[in-house]
Amino acid sequence: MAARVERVPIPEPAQLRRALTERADGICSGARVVDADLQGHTGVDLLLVDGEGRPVFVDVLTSDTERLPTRVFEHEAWFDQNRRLFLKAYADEGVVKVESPRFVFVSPKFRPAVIAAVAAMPDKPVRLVRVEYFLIDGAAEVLLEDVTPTQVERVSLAVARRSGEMSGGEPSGDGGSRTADPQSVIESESVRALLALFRSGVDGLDCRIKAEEKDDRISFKVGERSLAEVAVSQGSFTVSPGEGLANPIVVSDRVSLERALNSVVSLYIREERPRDGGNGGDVELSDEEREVLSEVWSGAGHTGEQG
Amino acid sequence: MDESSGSRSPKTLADVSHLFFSGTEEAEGSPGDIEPVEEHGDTGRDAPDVGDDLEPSDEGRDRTRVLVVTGGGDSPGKSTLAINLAHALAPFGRVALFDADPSIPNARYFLGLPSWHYLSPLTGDGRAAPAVVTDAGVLVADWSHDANGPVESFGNGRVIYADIPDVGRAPLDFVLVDVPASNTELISWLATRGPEYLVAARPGRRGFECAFSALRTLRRDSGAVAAGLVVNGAPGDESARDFHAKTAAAARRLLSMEVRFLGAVPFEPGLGAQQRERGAVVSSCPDGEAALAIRRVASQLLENDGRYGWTRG
Repeated sequence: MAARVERVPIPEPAQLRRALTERADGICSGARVVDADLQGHTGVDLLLVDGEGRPVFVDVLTSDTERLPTRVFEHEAWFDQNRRLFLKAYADEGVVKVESPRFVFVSPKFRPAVIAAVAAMPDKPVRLVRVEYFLIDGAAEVLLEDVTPTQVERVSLAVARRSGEMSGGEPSGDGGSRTADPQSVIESESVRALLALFRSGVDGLDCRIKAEEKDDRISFKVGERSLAEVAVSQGSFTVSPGEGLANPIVVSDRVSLERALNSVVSLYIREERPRDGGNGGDVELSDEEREVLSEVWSGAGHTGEQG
Repeated sequence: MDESSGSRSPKTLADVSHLFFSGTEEAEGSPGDIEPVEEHGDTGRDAPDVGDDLEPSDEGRDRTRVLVVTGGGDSPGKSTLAINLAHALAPFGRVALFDADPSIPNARYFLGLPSWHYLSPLTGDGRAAPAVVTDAGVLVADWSHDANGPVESFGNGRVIYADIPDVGRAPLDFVLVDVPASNTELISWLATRGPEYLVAARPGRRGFECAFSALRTLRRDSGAVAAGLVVNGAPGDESARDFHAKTAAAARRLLSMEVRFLGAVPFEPGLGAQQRERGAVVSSCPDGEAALAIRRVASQLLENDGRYGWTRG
């Protein structure tokens, strides 16, 4: 059954902030919310801590993104002034001592000039996240899209290339090998929404799916394991289940793509094994337990009557 | 949804952080129809005294059913199961859900709370998120913040009471506790309330081992000899039943424990995101496959009182 996807305006700030609170990992990989009600520091909407214990200042900008580079320095200055108190207050939340936090700016739109300005600050840990709001079968869904460093570099490169063109340089220096941005190839908003939903909304795999875009394909990973690869071309998608668990499927519409992705997840869940052949995660088993479980799982001890 | 419950449920979210629980009867170690296992015994905890002036009517209840929803490993789906099961049981009685998962207090997702932990940089003070009553009338309390909270607030009677906004002190029919198997201290303490155990598991080999790990905790730390199994994200019913057969076989051989099949909840893309936005799917999307599956689990529980705890019957 096809889902109805409709793009809607960004909600009012409080609602958007609440939605973002629930999508911390989408804002910064591995992060969790420490404080959604930061007192005393205007401008920072959410405080997260990433997997390494580094604080992440999230600044939501619904307009006026031109001031973004300035805000980076303002946030940094505030942190410098309040570092000691800040780190003491949030030490229990796993925030570690750092020289500088990460800065994440969330906005519905970043002007190219702003992205170029951020690209020109390589020493600043700044990340730009574009936010969109959709109604999927009537349910509101926030979609977050990283303006990733590679995209930042690409824009920067494009700007440089354009300068080169204007000065008579080569328009393309890639020697003929095409590298297309998969998102730019996808014309359908509903397909984009589906891919973003897949990234963020799979129950049980929430916040565990990472997506990487390279050339004409999007790779989805859970931890270090490959979940699926979606190759995008004009008019069709090729969905390859991770680790060669099944043959690739070629689909040409959103509904089929959704079914293919669902199959991939079912396959992944069914085939998920303990990592490295050991216990996997926090499951500790004695030798006897491991032996019996292997026997039962393989079917030899299925009825459990023996022993 | 059943709207006949009338005065049972307030319809607005409200701060009920003053809420606490108590019982009206002396603790008996376990409900009468349950056979406690000898090694579980007394945990040494003292429940708070019950004031003489607090003796509301039991309204015909002989005890509150305590359902411990647990699971091992990462994301077995216990919170999804607990929250939806609480809403599925709401038409059949007064329900309270306690989120005792310290790492991922998912209840806040369903309550629209901005954060479960409010920490002011100025005071360094922290407090748990307030308990609330959902539109479906389910009382949801965050126990993730203070590990001792449940112990102090549960009381020791067979019927558990709650102070509910607009209703006042009222006996509960069902108490669900969402707790990871790693929280052995709480699981051990909950055994004094004669609970039933619901283990949520993911299919696959790792899910199998995680489910076994959770069952082992229940056996060793609470003396349970029976539990119900719910397979989340199952590719199909047959696959879920096969998973159950293997889990039951392993539990029987290694733990002398009965594991009963309670149901399979199918994988639904976007379920987690949908719940965060609209609340329990049992209420927000009642005709969906996941909602129907969870309602079947609730029916099984209603039909089989006490089968998933300490009895082998």
